[in-house]
Amino acid sequence: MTDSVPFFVAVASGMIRCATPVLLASVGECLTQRSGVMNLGLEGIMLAGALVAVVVSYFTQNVLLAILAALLVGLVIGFVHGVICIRLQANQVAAGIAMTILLGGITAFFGVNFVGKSIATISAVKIPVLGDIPIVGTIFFNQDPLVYLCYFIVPVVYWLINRTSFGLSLRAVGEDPRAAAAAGIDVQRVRYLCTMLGASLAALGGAYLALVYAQGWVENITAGRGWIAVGLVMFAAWNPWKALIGAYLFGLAISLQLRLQAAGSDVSPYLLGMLPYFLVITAMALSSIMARRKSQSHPAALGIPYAEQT
Amino acid sequence: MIGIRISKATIVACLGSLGSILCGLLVVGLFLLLAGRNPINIYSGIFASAFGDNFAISETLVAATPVMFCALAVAVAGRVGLMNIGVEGQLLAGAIGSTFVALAMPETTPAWLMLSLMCISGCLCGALWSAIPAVLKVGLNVNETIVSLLLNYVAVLVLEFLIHGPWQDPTNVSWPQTQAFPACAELLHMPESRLHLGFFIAVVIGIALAILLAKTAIGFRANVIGANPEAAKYAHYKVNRYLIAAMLVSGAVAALAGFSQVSAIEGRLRSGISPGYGYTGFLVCWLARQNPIAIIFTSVLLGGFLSGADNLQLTEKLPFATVNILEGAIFLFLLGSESSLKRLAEKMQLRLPSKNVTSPPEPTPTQPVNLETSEAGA
Amino acid sequence: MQNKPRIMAARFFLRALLVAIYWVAFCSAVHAADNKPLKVGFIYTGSATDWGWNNAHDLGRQYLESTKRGSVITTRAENIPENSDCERVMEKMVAQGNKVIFATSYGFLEPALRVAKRHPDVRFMHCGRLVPAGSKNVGSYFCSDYYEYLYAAGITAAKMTKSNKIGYVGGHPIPALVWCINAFTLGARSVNPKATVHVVWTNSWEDPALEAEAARGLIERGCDVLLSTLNTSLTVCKVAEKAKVYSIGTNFDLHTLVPSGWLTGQSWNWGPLYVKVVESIQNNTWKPDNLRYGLADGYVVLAPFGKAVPKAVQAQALDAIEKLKQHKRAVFAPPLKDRDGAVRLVKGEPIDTAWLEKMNWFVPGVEGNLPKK
Repeated sequence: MTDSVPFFVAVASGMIRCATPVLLASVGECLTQRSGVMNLGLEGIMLAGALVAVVVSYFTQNVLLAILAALLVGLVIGFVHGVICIRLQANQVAAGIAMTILLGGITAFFGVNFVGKSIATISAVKIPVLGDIPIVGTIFFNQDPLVYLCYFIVPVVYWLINRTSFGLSLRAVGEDPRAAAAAGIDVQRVRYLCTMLGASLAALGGAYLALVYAQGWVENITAGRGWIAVGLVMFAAWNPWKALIGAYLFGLAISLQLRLQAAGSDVSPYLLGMLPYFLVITAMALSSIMARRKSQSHPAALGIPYAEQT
Repeated sequence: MIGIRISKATIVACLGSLGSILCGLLVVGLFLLLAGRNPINIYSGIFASAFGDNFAISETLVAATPVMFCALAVAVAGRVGLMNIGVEGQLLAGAIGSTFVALAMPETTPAWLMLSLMCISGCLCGALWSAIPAVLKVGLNVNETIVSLLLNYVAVLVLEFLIHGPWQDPTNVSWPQTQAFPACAELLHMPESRLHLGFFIAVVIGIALAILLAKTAIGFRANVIGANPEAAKYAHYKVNRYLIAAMLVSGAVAALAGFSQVSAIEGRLRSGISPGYGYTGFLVCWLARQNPIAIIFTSVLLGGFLSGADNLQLTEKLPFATVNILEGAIFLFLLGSESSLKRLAEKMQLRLPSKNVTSPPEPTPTQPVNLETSEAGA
Repeated sequence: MQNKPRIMAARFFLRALLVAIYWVAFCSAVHAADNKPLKVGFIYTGSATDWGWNNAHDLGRQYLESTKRGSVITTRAENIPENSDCERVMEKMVAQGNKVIFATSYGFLEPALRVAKRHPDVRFMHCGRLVPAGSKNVGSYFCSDYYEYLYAAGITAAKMTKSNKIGYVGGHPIPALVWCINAFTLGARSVNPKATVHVVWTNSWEDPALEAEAARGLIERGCDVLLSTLNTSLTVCKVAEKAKVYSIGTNFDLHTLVPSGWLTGQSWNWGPLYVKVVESIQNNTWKPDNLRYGLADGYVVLAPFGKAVPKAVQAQALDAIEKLKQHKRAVFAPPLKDRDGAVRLVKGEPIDTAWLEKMNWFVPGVEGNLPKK
């Protein structure tokens, strides 16, 4: 039996939970796309991360191992995507779509045996002092450990992209690979790294869905969130902090509409259900239209394979 | 790229693609063997289910139709260098436009009038949908891929809103769909099958596109704009006009897919009329290297694959997901084989038809219109 | 001359033998034709192992196959979306020789009708909706009285709740779910007038993250019992279990997966119905009717009670079911007013499928909304 929680606290708390899987995937994709590689296979990678987390959690009943396995799978898939797009210079959009189709099939095929099985899951952990702060504490510091990890990942990735020399190379590679190569940067290596890291974050997002939300494997557990993440990256102008805002907006809309219904609000459930998408897409469209400060706000070399001059 | 000649280059390209497909089949076949199944049986079953008898062939062509429309739409835009991945949304926009007419006109309208109006309305809506990224690209240099991708989501929302709200079937309040279209709104069918006029319209459009691109001045200019925008500018081509026109036509062609689906197959507007035809069309266009004639054949092949995959469930008792594994694996192999093919072609001193559907980079003006070189940096 | 009678006898004998052989062959051919197995196809909208709606149908299919082994061969196709794809799959099933097709999801009706027109020799059975009059080879089946078990579940929930708030997570706001909510609430209120049911729609038959969030939202509002009617109640029940609240599931018995929180639920027993339908087709007694069954037929069952439910409460629920079965009590009794005060059922008005299918209103005690028409 639980006490009634103040409405907006519940909404905000739910917002963070809803946002986290999408946030992880889009922060990862920010990293990947900043280096000039487009990875549209996020939906498939999230599914793969979710299934691997479920399988490992089922056999070992250890959540940490499950998370590590998901991260590893993400790295591997990122590497494969890297090989196809960087080494073999294939069309990156097509590769992403094909990857999503393939991974969707593989996870559905193997996942059938794991529906309904009980696995070790993640519960909310209250942070000792911070969690006691009246409102803010309940919202931000009474979540599960992966959310706390997310609080770190966003600033770390931002710092990585903007304040480190690796980030400098990364951005150079994304804007003008020829110049970067001339400056001595190993373009391929940087792109591989970013693709793999981005994919492993997406896999972590998928693991979150399985371990925290559904607490098991259900087919199509992601229900399109991977594609939302791709859209969010564009909304965020490849900036992890803006990705956070976008993800939270998305999470807010979902959390709000479900809780408004539970509170007996009279707004049409259909309109409420559309709210998440409308919010994010309107913001994305506006931001797209308003991007006339620079002629192209995206990394100039995005989606264009780079052929090394021998 | 130009023309329908079966050149040595085309043969190499085809063989290369076939080789990749075989690799994909082999890998998945191994996986199936490990799962204890017989891949030969399974593959031949898929083939039989796709092309085995008249009914199978008709179903293959039915499945191929929307894919063909979408692939042709992507090709139209791709030839001038635009990557229109919004065909999914443009398909839905076309469906919505056609539905509007079907619901608004009285039931006694003669079929030819009803269908023509539905077609025009659908095409207008599709063109409107593709005009948005077109205008943004030409006016503000915003990447059209991103905008058109986002508009796909919006199109789904608009459709959901309509079928849940103002267009909901009043005789069946519980299910989100429009009421059934009157008989005059149904596109002509072959007797005893679901094969409809739409397939033939798509083929005609494909052939017309091939002729347009190969034999007319407009087509020539479009090709130049796509391959080398700088050269086009020096030649004083009205590049912006071509870009917008290409996107509008692209949207209209994709809309035809939506029109034919709601008119001939569904008979109403409902959720889920497109299980990703737009994205499949994009892949097909890429596979066929933007050549309209190749698109026709590739769409039929893919339609056969999609339709034949039912066999996996019905006869082989494999889960539905096996289809996706096969599809994904084959595409990845095809994607992966691109660069090896290029190197082989280089060795054989051939110019491979361009598979490029991306916006080309800023090429240097001194480069001639040489696809291979521009591909190296693209 | 002496051979002639022998030859004649031999000829006669030979002819008789030939006739006998033909006769035997003819009989066995007829017998074999009679015994040729009937091919039956099943189409599901989701996965056959989803611990929910589709799973229940698949169990029914397996029961049919094991009971009628030899005379029936079944095929199944899962994850078929409710659009033109399912028409193609049905056509393929027909091409494969299936003479009976069970279309188990709401949205399969229109495609089934179209395919049925093209193949008058194949019988189609749709689960859930009413088939329009005039279709010669399409029938439907459902146990629309299954809401009576939800009435009993409502009694159980109302006796177990301490906060008097019960949460409900539903897929799409269709009448079939609305009458569930109403029946449940009427049952709950019959033993606990202060109980309220809070409704949240996910607008999707299967989106686990959305369902989990909706469940959480209801728990935060103070609901300590959760009911759900989606493709599968698995996610909502698991969330409830983790939050240590009670859960009631539909479509499938989940008490093994949620041992501490499970109260009761409703699940299907399609197997015997499938056997009955198939037998009627084999005996040529099948008619394209809208078959509707009640509790007494046994195709819908009350799920086992969880260990949390005390015997007294179980007795009360079972007693209510008995009274319903014997028609001593009715779930919807006139005069029935909806929560806005309008009268929805007057004395003498029949509670038939038509009345149920028009239900887009809530009884008092339900908080939540329906799309405005």
